[in-house]
Amino acid sequence: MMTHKTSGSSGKKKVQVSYVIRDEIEPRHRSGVNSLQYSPPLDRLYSAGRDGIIRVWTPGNSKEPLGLTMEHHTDWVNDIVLCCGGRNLISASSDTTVKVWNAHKGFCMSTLRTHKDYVKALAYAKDREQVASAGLDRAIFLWDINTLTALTASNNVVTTSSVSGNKDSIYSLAMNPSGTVIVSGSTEKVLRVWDPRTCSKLMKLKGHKDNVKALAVNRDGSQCLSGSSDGTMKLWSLGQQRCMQTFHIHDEGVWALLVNDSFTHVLSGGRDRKIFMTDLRNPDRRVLVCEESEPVLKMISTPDQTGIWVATSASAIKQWSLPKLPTLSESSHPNDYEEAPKPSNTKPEKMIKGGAAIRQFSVLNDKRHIVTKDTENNVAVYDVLKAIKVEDMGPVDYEEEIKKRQKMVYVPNWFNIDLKTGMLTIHLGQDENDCFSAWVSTKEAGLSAGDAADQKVNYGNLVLQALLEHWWRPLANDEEADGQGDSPSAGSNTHTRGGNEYFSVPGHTPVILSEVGGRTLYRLLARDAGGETEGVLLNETVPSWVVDIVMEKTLPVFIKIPFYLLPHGSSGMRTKKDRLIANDFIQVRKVAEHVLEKVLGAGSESGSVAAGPTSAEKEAEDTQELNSLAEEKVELLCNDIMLEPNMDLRTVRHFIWKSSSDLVLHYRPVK
Amino acid sequence: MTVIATGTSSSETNGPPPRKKICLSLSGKGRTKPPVTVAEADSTSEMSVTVNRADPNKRRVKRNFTASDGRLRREALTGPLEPGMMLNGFVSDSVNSIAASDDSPGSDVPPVATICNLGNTCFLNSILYTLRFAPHFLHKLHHLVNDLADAAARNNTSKVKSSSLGRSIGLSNKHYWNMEQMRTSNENCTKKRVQTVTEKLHEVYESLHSAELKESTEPFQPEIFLHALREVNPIFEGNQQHDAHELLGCLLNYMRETCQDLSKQLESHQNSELCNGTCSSDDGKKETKGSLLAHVGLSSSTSSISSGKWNVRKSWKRKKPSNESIFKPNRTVKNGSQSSVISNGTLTAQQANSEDPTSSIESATNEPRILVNGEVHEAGEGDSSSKENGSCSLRPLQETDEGDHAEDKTRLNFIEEDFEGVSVLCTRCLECECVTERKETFYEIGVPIASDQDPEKREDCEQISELYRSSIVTEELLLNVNKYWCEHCLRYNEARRSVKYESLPPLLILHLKRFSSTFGSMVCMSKVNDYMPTPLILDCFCDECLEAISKDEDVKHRYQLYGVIMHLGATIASGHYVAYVRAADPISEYRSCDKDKRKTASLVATNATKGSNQPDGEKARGLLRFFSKTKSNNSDTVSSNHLGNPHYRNTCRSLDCCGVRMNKAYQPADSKAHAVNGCGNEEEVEDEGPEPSWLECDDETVRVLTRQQLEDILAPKQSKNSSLTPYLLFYSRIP
Repeated sequence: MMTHKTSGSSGKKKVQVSYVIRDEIEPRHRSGVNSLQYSPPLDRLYSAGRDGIIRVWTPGNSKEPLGLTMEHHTDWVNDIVLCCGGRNLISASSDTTVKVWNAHKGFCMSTLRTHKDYVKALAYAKDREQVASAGLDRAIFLWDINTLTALTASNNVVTTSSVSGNKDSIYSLAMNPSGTVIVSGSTEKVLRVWDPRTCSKLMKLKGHKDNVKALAVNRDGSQCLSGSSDGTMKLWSLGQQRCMQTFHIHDEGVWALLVNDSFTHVLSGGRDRKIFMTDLRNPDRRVLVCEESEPVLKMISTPDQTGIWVATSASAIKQWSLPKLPTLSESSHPNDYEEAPKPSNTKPEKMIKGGAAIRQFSVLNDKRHIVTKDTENNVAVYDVLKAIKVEDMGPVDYEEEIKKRQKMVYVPNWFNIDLKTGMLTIHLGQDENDCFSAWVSTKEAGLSAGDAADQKVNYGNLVLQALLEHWWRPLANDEEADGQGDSPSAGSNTHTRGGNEYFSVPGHTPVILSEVGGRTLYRLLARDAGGETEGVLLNETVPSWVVDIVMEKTLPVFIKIPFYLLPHGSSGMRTKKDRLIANDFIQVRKVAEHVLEKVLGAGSESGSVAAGPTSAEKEAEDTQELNSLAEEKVELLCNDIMLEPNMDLRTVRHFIWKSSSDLVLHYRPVK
Repeated sequence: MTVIATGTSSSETNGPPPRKKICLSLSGKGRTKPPVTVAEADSTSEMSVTVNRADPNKRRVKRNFTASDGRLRREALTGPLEPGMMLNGFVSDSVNSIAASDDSPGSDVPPVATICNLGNTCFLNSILYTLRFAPHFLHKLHHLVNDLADAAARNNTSKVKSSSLGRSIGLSNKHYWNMEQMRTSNENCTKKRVQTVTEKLHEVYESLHSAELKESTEPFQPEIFLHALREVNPIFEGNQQHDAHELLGCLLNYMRETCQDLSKQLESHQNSELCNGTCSSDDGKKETKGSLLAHVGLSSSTSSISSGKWNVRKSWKRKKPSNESIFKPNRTVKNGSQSSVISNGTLTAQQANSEDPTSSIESATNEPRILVNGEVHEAGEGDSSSKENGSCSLRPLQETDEGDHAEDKTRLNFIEEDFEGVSVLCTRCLECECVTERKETFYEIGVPIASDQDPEKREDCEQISELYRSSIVTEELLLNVNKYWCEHCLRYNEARRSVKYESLPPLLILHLKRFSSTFGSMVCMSKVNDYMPTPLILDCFCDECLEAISKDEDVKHRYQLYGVIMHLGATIASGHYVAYVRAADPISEYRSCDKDKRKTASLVATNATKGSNQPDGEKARGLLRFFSKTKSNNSDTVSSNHLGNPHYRNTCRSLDCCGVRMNKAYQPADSKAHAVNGCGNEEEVEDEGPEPSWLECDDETVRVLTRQQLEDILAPKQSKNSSLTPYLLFYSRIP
C-alpha cells in the first residue's frame, strides 16, 4: 500500500531515527551561544544557540525578552547573519545545513544542503546582498540572497582548493560590505583571500601558528584583522600582502573580533574569557572591558555603540558597556602592562538569562529511565519510552539517585543518547536488530492497565509507533489523541490509525531522520507528521523497516536465547544435556513450569523437548494455577545461585551467568 | 649462595651446571684485585700489565672453554633440543673457521668473537652483535643475571617460583609452558622461561668473551639461546627468517619482565625480612645491615643473607652523591672487609649442609666461589689500609638505612632505565581548545621513510636531524569521519593530535619503517628501499630540546650512532641482516661500578664490627681461610698476577665474565692504550682517545671498518634497487 523508498535522497547510507526529549517551549538557551545578530529597526537580538535553536529577543523588554524561537536545526547553530535589512536570517549549523529564515516571523524558508560537514562560518556582503558559507568540508559557497529567498540556490561555488593538499577546515570567514574580497581562516594556519566576484584566488597570508578562528575585513577590503588559536591577532595589509602588526594581548586563543567601522579600534575575546579594546594604531593603548565567566564566542555592538552584547559558551547573554574612546587612551599606559589590568566593568549592564544544559546522564538497567545532571547540578529523571521528563529532583546527589533507582534487571540496549545540544537527544538503534532488541512485559513496564493480560511489548517498536503516530492519519483526530495516554481505542489496529495502544509521545517532540553519524535529512515535530508535505518527505526518508513497524504493524522478531537445562547435582537425577532455545524475556518461572511439566511430569520424556519453554509459556498462560505450583515444586539454579521466579533469562545470563557461552540452568525438585 | 653476589660478583651465578661454575669461579678470582691504593699508572706500566695478564687469561679461558664445551655436549645429549634445530642449527666447525678468517690485518683471528648462522638466524645474530656493543648493556646484563641467581638461591622452594610463573607468562604461552614444565627435569626446570632467555643471553656473551680470550677462530653457535627464545615465543620456531626488529622488541620485553620480577621478589623479601632483621640485632651500635648479617646464624641461611644483600643494594644507591669524596678510601677498605660477609655465607652454607640434604648440594656447589672470594679478600686485607676501617667505612653505610623502595625498583630495571622513553599523545579539541594528554612508554620509535626529501638536505647534519625530527614528532588532524569526541563539548569535533617525547632513553632505537604491510600478513610485506640518511650524530628531539630549538638555542643532548642493522633483500621474510657496531672501548663503563662497590661497602661494616669485636666473626674468618687454602687451587697464581696490576681493581669484575675483548691485532695503531681488554688506564680513558673503529658483523664474518668506510656504506646508493638498507638505528645519548 505504501511506496517507500528505503533511504530516499540519502543514497545508500543507513538512516537513523532520533528524537529530542524537551519542553514544548524552551525559553532559554540550554547551552552556549555561538553567534549574535542585532536588528535595529525592530530592536531584536538574534542568538544562535548550541541547543540548535535560534532565539529572538527584545532586549528592551526585560520582563518578557523572548520573542520567537526558530527551531529547525538539529545541532549547534554556529553562525547567523541578518540580511535584507533585517528581513531574512541565514544560519549555519553543525547539522551541515544552511537555512534561510524569515526573520520577522521566524519560519524557515529553505534549507541548503551543499555542505558535507559542519558549517562553521558565514560572511555577508551587505551592498551586494551576498552571503558566503564555509565549514569543515573545506568548501566555501557563495549565495545570492535574492535568489535564496526565491527558493533556488545559486550555483556560484568557490572551493578552497588546497594547492598543497593540506587539510584545511575553515573556521572563520569574512567579506567586506561591497563584496570585493572574501577571507577564510582555517586549520591550515594561513589566510586565503579570494575575489568573490570572479571567484579567483588573490593571495595566501602566512604567519599564524595555529587555527584562525576570527576574521574582520575593513570596508574597502584593504585591511584584514585575524584572531588565532595561537593567542595572537594580526593586522594584515591585503594590498601589500603582508602582516603589518601582531598583537599579543590574550593569554589563549582569540575567538571573536569586533572592529569599528573606521577600523581603528578592535574588541577581542577568546578562550581566556577576557574582552579587550585595543587601539589598532597603538596597541599599548588598550583596556580590559570585562571578564566573562566562559570563553567568548561572539560580540556585537549595541545600536548606540556604547555597549556590546557578548555570547559565550555559557547560555546567558550579557551586555557590557564600553569605555569611551578618550578614556581608553587615558587609562592604558604601557607601564600598566605588567600588572593584571582591572576590567572597566565588573557587572554587565543587562543579562538575558540562560538555562542549564544536561551534562551527564546514566541509563538505568531497565533501559527506559535516564537520570541526568545539568550544569546547575539539578538531577532529573526522564522516561525515554514516553519521551517525557518524569521528575525534577533539584540539586540532589546524582550518584545516589542512580543507585537508588537501579534494578536488578537486564534489558538490551535499544538506543543511544546524545547531549551535544544540552538536551536529551535519543538515537534509536540503527537497524531492526539494535532497535528492537528490548522486549518487556507490559506488566513490568507498567503499561497494562490493571488486570489486563500480560503481554510482551517491544520498546523500540512502541516508540516508533508513537513518534510517527500521526503519519497518514486524518488530521481531525490529532487533537483527540494528544495527551490521551493509555486508552487504546477500538480502531487502533487499523492501518489508518497510527500509534500504539499504550501511550503517545508529546506532540512537540522533534523527530529527526539522519544519516548514521552524520547529516540530518529531515526534522519534524511528532504532531506534524500528518501534514501532506511532511508525509511526502517521510516517505522519502523513513527506512523500510520502520515503515513495516509503523504502518504495517508488523511485530519485530523475538530475541532467542539458547541455554542448557540440567538436573542439579544434588537431585541425583541423570538426563541428557539438552540445548533449548527460548525468548530472552522468558521468566525463570516459565522454565520451572517446563521442568515440572515436561521433564519431571513426563518422566523420561525429557530428551525430546525440542520446542522449548516457548510452548510451555503459552500453555501456562491459560493455567495460572500451574504457575505458582511450578515455583513451589521446582527450583532453578545458575552457577549454584537460586533464581528468582520473576527473573528473565537475559537477566540471569547477564548478572549471574556472566559469560558469553551458552547459559546453563540446573533444576531440582523442592522437597 | 647470596654471598656470591655480595662477596664478589659475577657471572658464575647464572650457570647452573657445576662444571661451569668451577671455571667461572676461577675467572671471578682472577677478576678480584687486591685493594691497592689507586695509583695513576702511566702507559708503560699499563702495557706491562697487559703482558702480565696474558698468561693467566689464556689458561683460564681454556679451562672455561672446555667447561662450556662440555656443557654444550651435555645439553645436546640431554637437553630438550629439537631435532629440527639440530639439523639446521649446526654448522660444521670447519666451515665456520673458514668463514671466520678474512682479510683482517695480521692474523686470522677475527677482531671479536663471531657468531655462526644456524640457518636463517642472521636476524638473531645481528641483534646479538648490536646489544653486545650497546653502551653499558653487557655490564648491566651481567649484574641482572647475577642478582637473578641470588634471588633464585633464596627462593629455592619451588612453591614460590611456580606462583610467580603464572604472573609473568602470557596467556598464549600458558599451555606451552606446562608442557615444558613436565618435560624439563634438569636442575633449572623451575626457572622461568622468560628469565631463562635473559640468562642464556648472558651466557652467549660469556662464551663470546671466552672465545676472545683464547683467540678462537671458531664461531660461536647460539643455539641454546635460540632454543630458550623459542621456548618463550614459538614464533621463532622453524628456520624462517624473522624480523630483527621484532626479536629486539621481544628480547627487551623479556629482560624488562625479568627485571620486574626480580625487583618484586626482592621487595617481598625485604618486607618479610625487615621485622626479622631489626629485632635480631645483637649489637646496638651496628646499623641494620650489620645486624642482619649477624642474624644469619639465627634464622634460615637464605633469607637472612638476602636481606643483608638487600640493604646493601640500598647503600649503593644512597652513596652515589657522596661517592666522589670518599671514593678511594672506601674502596680499599671495602675490599678488606669483604671477609666477614663471606664468612657468614660460609657459615650458613655449613649449617645448611648439616641440616638439609638438598641445600647441602646447593651449598657445596657454592663453596668454591665463596672460597675464592674469601681468598681474594684476604689478599686484599693484607695490603689494604685496614686501620681506616672503623672510621670512614661507616659513613656511606649509615645512609643505607633510609633506603627508598621506589628508587630501588626503577634502578633495578635497567631495561626501563636505558631503553625506555616516554611519549606524550596530546589531543586538542579545535572547538573548545581543551587539551588531553596520554603518556606512553616506548622502547623504540618507528620512523616513516620520508620519500619526498630534498636530496640536498642529506648533506647537512642539522638538516638530517631536522628530517628525523619532522618524521618523528608529528601532528595530525582528526577530522571528517574520524572526528574526536570531546568530553568538554560532549560531541564530535575536529581535533589536533600530536606525538611528542617527554623523555628519550639513554639508548635510543630508531626503527625505519621499511616494511609496509599489506593486509597485515608477513608474506605481503613490501619493502621501501628509498634512501634515508643515517646520521652519525643525531640531535635530540625530546620536549626540552625542541624548546631549545624553538628558541634558537643548541639542543640539550645529542645522540651518537653506535649500531646499525642493515637489511638486504626485498621482503621481510627473506633477505639478510648485517650489523654494524661501533667498537668503543667499554672499559669506562665498568669503572666505579656501583654494584661492585656496595658489596665491599657492606663488608666494611661487618668487618669493622665483627672482625674486631666478635668472636663469631673471627671464627668465620678462620673457616674461610681454611677453605680458601684447601679449595682454591690455582687462584693464588691468578690473583698474584693481578696484584701487580694497580688499575684493575677500578673496574667491575663482570668485565672479565662477559665483556667485549677485542683482539689486540685490530686495535687501531695509534691507540695503544685503547685496549678493550679490561686494563685501560684511567687517564687514557678520560681523554677522548682516537676515533673508535667500526665492526661489520655479518654472522661468521667480522670486519673492521674505519668511520669513512662505514659512511660509504651508509651513503646513498646509485641505484634504488640496491637493497642493503639501514633498518634499525641504535643511538646512545651524549651530553
